[in-house]
Amino acid sequence: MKGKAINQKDIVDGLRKGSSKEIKYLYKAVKPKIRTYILKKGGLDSEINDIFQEAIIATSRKLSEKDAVITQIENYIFTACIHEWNRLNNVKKKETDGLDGYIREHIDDVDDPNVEEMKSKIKKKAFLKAFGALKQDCRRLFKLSSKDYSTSEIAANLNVSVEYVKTKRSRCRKHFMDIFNNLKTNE
Amino acid sequence: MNNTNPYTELVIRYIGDQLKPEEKKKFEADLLINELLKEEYENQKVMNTMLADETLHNLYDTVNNVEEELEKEEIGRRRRMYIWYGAAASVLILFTLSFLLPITRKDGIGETLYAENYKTASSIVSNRSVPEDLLPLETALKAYDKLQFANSSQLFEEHLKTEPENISAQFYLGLSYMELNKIEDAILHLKLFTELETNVYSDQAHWYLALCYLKMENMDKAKVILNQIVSKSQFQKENAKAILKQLE
Repeated sequence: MKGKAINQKDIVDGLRKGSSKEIKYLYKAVKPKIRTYILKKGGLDSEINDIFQEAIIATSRKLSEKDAVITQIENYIFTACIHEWNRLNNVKKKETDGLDGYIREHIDDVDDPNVEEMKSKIKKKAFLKAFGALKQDCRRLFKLSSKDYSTSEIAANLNVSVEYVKTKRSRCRKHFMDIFNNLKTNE
Repeated sequence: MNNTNPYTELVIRYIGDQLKPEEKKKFEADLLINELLKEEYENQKVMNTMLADETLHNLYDTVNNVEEELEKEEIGRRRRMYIWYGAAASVLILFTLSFLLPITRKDGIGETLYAENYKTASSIVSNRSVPEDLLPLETALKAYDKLQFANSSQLFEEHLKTEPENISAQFYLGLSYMELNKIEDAILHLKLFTELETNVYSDQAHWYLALCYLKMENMDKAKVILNQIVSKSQFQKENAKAILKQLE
């Protein structure tokens, strides 16, 4: 790994705050290792990017939760990525199993025997994936909404009609839910 | 496999307050008894919370920016690498050329050496008697002497049809071809003298043959003949040595 090593606690704090410095560090420090591992196993570069991005987002979200403690952050992300890649490859083989198969895959891989909690974790993951899979124009629209802009303000900002914003927002939501529902059952 | 929920659009319209009052009423009643509708409704509430989460949007933006930044750095790194490779390749090419250049120069030197050393040989007509029965050959030699090389070459060829072993005709036909810049044809006739026993034309034929090879840029064969001249002949010996030195 090129570049100066950063203290693990600083990385954890930085990732919790969504700081680009620490995120960049993790991309440089961990992603190449994951890439080597996945490519050795016959995976693709495109899979690596998605998996790594999801791991960074999910870990940052986890760190923002109350009482969340991760000490070895690099190891944590590396393991999360490998675990996710292995799971995806197993799920690909068993995709006909649907939601039950998906849950079984997860339950087999974790210590928590609580199915409901497991379902909740799966959903959370699927939500994040659906969010990540949103197209740029949808993201921009919802980001403006998240900043408490009104529909007419958003329309003015994007130089489109109010009607367009409403229709587009509905389409984006439908797209999000379609991705989510597919992920939840198909993966 | 497509696993969309049939109530997705209905729930979106409900949350977006786009249902008519009676539709809204029916929706709320169904929500109490329809599990699939309820599940979709709950999931959309989570979705809307996420979509309204500015921190999450910012996190994605940061991650995307970092990826973009790293991609640019990688492109820059590759570009710098290509520049280095390009520079290294250029140095290698120049280095290789520095070795090849003398050879390349030699490739064009034959023509120069030919031009520097070739002089039209005088015919034997003026200083050598020609027997009466060789009148056609005499005519050909006269034509050669008058620098009428096209004519002389035809006459020598004609003569060789009747007397193929006539060395005078062979030699001057070779020289006539040299004058006509038919070097390959000249070689055919002059080369015979390397296979024949030594005769009055041998030394000159070797010299002109060597020049022919130089003109053809066939340095290897030129060197062989020039070395033969240096070792066996006095005719043009010093010039042959000088050429060999230049070919080293």
